Amino acid sequence: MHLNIPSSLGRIVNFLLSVKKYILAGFSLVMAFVFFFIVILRYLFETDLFAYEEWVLMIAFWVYFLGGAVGSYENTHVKADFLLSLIDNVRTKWIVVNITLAIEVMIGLVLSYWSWLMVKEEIDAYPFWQTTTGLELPFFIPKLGIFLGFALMTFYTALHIYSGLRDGPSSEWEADETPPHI
Amino acid sequence: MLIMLTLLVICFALVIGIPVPFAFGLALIYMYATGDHDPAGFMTSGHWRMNVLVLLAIPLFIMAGTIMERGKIAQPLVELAELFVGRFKGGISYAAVGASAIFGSIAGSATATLTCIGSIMMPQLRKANYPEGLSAALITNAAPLGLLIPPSAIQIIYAWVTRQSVLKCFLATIVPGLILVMLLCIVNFIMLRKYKDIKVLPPSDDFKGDVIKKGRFALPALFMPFMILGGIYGGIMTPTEAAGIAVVYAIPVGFFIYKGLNKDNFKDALVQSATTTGVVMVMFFMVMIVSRLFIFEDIPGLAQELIFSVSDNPIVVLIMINVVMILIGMLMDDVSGVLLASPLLFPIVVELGVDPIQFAAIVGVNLGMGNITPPTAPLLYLGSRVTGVRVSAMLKPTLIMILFAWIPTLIITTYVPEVSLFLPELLLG
Repeated sequence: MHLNIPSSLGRIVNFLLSVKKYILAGFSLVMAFVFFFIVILRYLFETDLFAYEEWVLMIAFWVYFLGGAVGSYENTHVKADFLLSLIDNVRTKWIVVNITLAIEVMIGLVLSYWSWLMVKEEIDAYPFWQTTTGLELPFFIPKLGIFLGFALMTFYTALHIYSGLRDGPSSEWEADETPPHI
Repeated sequence: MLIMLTLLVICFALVIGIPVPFAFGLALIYMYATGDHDPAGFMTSGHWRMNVLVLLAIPLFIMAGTIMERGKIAQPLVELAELFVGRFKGGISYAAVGASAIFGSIAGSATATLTCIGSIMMPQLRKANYPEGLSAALITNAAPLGLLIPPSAIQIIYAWVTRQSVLKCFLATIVPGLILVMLLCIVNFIMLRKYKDIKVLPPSDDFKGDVIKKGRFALPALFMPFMILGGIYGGIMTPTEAAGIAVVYAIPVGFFIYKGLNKDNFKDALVQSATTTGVVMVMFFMVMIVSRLFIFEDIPGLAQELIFSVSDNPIVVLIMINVVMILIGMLMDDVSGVLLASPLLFPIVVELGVDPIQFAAIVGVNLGMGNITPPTAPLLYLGSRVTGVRVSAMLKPTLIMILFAWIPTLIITTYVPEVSLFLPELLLG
């Protein structure tokens, strides 16, 4: 993924991405192996892993939302590419893409704020916050993942605008940001 | 009125190219601005709706599919299929359809099927002088078999939303999937007739020996569907556990047998699958919140009233339901489509007396078709990228396949209940 951003900002972005990628790879493996061991424990040792679903689901929420954030960085969220694939002129495409990205950033800001309200509700309830029934894990954990996910999605979408404005309607920008022409 | 405007907001956002989760986010903002809703409650309701174990099968099947794709597990399947049909005219293209169906029974995702089979088959089809547009269109049209041949992420979601048996929903789409395979092959056969210079593979000198050799090499890949489906239908494990086992099995098979995986691309595969999972599940999260608000506003009831006010003839109502789903499929991808269509249309079909398991098959075929129908058509655009063929060259053969393979499959699935109910009744009673 090409992003035309200053190197100092690029270093921060790369660091964040690499941390996220290690978390995603590690958590994904944990999710798969948990279910493998559940089956092994059930049939070989005739036992169960107590309340495993409580922490697996919390891990899953972090995978969902950090994965969604990487999706925003890589511009792989599902969208209807029809309008763009009908446009020939690179400049027109550049204008349309940047307008839709700006709308996305505004939506992202609202969604991040709403997620923050959800997290704040949990923080305000401390020490009497909601927990799972078995292991008493706080629901603050997955909700924080949701908030960070939306905040990072908004940040990466804003980076695409910034990079697009620096690039201008170039062929490099077109290859990265637009679908193949019909 | 509010709902019509909300749907218009979603459609407008999708058409100008805003990603699906943000389009639903915009709808949520609109509903907040014009209604009386607590915005903090939106996110909390999304969290509660998604905080269920069965949905973990979706990321795990995505992970299994990605690991298999990187692990080159599809190559031996393709070679085996080619051995049987490669010496006939059009044989390599039939092998592509067959391999997509087999790979679909392993991966449960149309995207993984298209990426995997498309990247292997397209160079071979090109080398054998097959027309590019038709070949790319055929590979793309066969990719939704990943959604119809179980395990299928879409069927897990449908079963969860409508509280049906996942196992029955998996079985409901098998026969429609096989009908689609047959019709795609027939359409391809007819369309290939005018191309005279298509090469065929030389016949094998030792067919039996080759079958044994290639069959043995493909055995670890072919064992996967038996393990996954056998485990689920044998009552040994849940679909989520089967998906976890599929990932754990695919890792050593990809590393040591087919040698497509190595320590460098393994981490990439995990990150790629987690990214795809994130893209799907964030969309899921947003659509769930909007669809909950729709239910809160009794939209399924209003839709039922509206449809029955036009006609109460089951044939006409089913046509209208299919048209609505085709429109949903044309605008959205399969996951958001099933999340929106199921709660909205389910009460109507139940009222009509349609079996919920048959409706699972109708939804599956509809959304599979929606995946290749513009304007959204995520598979059509992915197919263009994977095969290197322009969308314009794929468009005409794709429309012909929709008309003569997909729509007949949809009509048969809709009006002949036995097609989707035969296997669930036979195996599960």
